[in-house]
Amino acid sequence: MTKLLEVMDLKTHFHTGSGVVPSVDGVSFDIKKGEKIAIVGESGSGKSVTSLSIMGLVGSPGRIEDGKLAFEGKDLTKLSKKEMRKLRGNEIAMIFQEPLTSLNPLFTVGNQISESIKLHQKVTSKVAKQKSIEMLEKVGIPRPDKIFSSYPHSLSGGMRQRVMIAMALSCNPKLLIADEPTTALDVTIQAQILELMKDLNEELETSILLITHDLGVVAEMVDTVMVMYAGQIVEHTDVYTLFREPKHPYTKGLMDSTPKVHMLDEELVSIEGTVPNPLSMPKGCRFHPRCQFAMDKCVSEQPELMELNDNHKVRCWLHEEKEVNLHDLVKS
Amino acid sequence: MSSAQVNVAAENGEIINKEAKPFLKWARLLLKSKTGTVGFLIVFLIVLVSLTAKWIAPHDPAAINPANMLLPPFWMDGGTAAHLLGTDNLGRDILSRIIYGSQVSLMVGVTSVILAGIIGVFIGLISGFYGGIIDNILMRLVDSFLAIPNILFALVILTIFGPSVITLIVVLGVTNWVSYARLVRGEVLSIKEREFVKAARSIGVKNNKIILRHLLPNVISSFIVISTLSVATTIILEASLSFLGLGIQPPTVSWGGILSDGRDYLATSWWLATFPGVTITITVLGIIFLGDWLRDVLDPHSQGRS
Amino acid sequence: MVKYFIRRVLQTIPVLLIISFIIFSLVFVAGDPVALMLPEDASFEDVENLREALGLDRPFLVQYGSYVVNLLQGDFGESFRFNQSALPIVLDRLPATIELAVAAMLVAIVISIPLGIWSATKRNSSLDLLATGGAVIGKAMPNFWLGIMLILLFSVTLGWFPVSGRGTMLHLVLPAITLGTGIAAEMTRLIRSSMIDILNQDYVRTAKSKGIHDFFVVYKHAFRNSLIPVVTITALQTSTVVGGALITETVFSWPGLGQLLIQAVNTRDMAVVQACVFVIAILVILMNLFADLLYRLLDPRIKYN
Repeated sequence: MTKLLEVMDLKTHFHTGSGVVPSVDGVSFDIKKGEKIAIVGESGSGKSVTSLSIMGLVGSPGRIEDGKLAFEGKDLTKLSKKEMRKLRGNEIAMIFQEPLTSLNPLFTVGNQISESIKLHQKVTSKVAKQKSIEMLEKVGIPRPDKIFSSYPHSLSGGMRQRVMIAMALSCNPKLLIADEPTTALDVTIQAQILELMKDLNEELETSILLITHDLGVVAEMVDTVMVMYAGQIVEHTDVYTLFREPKHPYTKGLMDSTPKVHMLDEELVSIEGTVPNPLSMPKGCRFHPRCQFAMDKCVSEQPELMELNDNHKVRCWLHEEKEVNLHDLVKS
Repeated sequence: MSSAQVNVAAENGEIINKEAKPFLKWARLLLKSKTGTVGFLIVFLIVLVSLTAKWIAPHDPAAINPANMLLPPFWMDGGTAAHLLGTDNLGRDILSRIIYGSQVSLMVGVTSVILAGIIGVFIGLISGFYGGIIDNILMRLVDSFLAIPNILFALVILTIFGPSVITLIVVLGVTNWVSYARLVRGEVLSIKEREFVKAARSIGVKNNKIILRHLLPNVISSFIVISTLSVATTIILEASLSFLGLGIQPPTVSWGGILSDGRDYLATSWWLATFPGVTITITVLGIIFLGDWLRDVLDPHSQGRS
Repeated sequence: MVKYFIRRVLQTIPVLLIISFIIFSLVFVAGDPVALMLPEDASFEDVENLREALGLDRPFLVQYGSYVVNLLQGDFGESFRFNQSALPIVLDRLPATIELAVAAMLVAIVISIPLGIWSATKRNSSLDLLATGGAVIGKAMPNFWLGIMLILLFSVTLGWFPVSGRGTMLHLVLPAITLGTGIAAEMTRLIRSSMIDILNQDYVRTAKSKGIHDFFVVYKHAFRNSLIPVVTITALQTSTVVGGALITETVFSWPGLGQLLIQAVNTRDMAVVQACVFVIAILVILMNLFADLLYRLLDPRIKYN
């Protein structure tokens, strides 16, 4: 598969009154055509800022300090505002966490979908309307011509997210960024929306970058997973490997704190401590104050993202000499 | 404090605040806001001036001196240092008149706002307590007052009862109570809905007792903010009425009155109408700054909204 | 929707009744108009006869009742200064006041909308500081003083505009600016804070993510939303605006309601004063209804039951 987007050493910092916040601090990954990839992390880990950086929507006081965002060979950080606008909503589209507030309350659903289509495909209102209704149908909205002329407030949360997806996919984007698309929805609706995204991924070959804090969603949706902590990727591998054998203590912590159906009798363990204050990041490994395996080295030196094999990278000193199985480490 | 200490204090703000005396805490909060500090200084200065008018005014504000009629301010040709801001058509010293004028403006502003607060809180309490038909009637009363411009209502009452300082205070108080009534009523209604009140009522505790106990802490900050900003609008309203000749009557000096006198001499002596207006503007500006700062400090929900 | 407005109109009836009651009580307390109407040497019997003829010897509530009945017929009593019914006198002056208020509103809109939007989109820029600073000074300046200063500068010193009166467009400029500045100050603050709030909303981010030009993001997606609170709060201030108009008229000798009212107040022409109060109150209530309508047109989320 060819690379659609290559993120290289991305650094997005926020210049606040009390100091510089390195929200994204040297993130690298790539997304192949048709691939589904997820960034997992707690709030404040920098996962949303990463996606906004790709969209070119990091608002003041934030700024992309360094790094490259190569989208089909073009560096997004070097594009003019106008070129970026042409790409946005057209080749790269995004859906957001809150379908409730992400649609403009004062315009009809149809107005908001056909707005994109008219803008990027330069078609008449009539064609745009037709296309919008088609899209609404495609995302499984009943009576799409009626929904076309209704206002967002009259729709349910799940329907609104379907509208958002229809809007995002209306111009056949190559990449869809979904920032916590199901967090605000009921569990049953969640599953439906995820299923819809998976189907559309197959049908339209749209690559998907999923941003989430929910490992359950990850397991259901994607091929590849990156775990982010304090602005950095700490583990990067395919979804099966990650669940079978997490190598970073943080990843393991996340898994232990996620309820699983087949583990009814096991206790849920939460990770102790909190995400570090971005204004005063801990020296050494950023996770060490919360890590049950922390060693002397972890306090003094920051680990690099180490390649264990072709498809598994981890940022942890435990695996410096040889790979360690964390499950065994706990037992011993 | 050296700058290094200030930095430490800023970093450990939380700890320091707990230890510091309330006065220091407020002073620190005030100094953080530029407009708040400016507002406080202006208000402080005006209050000081009005309290010490007797001693700091260079002349008797009522002293008529035909020899010094319509003198310009000191920096212009013909101005003298004896009359820094010039004199009026009767040779009275403008600066002294402005200094004395602050007394009546502040006094009327503050007392009428207190009166408005008392009326408003009382009506708001009754409206919220009893609800139903009483609430309905009182809220229509509120609507009625909102439909009549303050200045119009004041004019009508002043026409009927004749202008005097007392009438003016009462009038301004009676026209300004609406915002307090709405605040208190809203708070009473929301307290009534809370679970613990319902629970207490179910075991026979009187509503009134609970509401009064919980009302004060919830309305006190909004009350202070509304009052501060009301003083500003009241000072303007009083000046307007005095300007129209229905507010403060001579020989009592008021800013609106000086302005009104000066209007007839606009073509020849601009300073008569200019300086009192500048004084009113600066005073009101100071009060608004102080009020906005108080709102930001006392009511964190509204922070950044202004 | 029609039902809703019928209910809103019906709600104004008790408000007008309360206003009439307040006014009547005030006039009642003010004392006997008879003393003013008869020569000073009139006998006690003459006074009593006149009181009886005017119905002033009846109980308070009965008098109030007939007062309301008269009001309903548009009868506010006779103006003794003009020797004619008060209401036509007042209505005659109404167009001038409306002309001034509309012109001032236009001035306010032209100033405050671009200024409010610019300062919200370019927060903490020098333009923002200028706009917010200007707005707070505009709020702190007494209306009548601003008028006087404008006369001093543009009429007395520069001679560009007439000092007072009504007639040509030139006459309208200074009064409209005087009254408009105060409204603009408040509206600029409101639009700015409302826009700042709206620009942080998720749907604005959605609009940006669709590749829409910043200009349309601001003017199509954000501005209409930001108008909703602006309309509501501006409507609540109608009465302040009308109050400002009364004073502005006095400063510029603008022959509207304000000037009439001040003259009536100075001559204690109570019939005219009362008619003014009612006409102004109805004006304010109508403006509020209009704002309510506008608000409902702007926001499809509002339901009518």
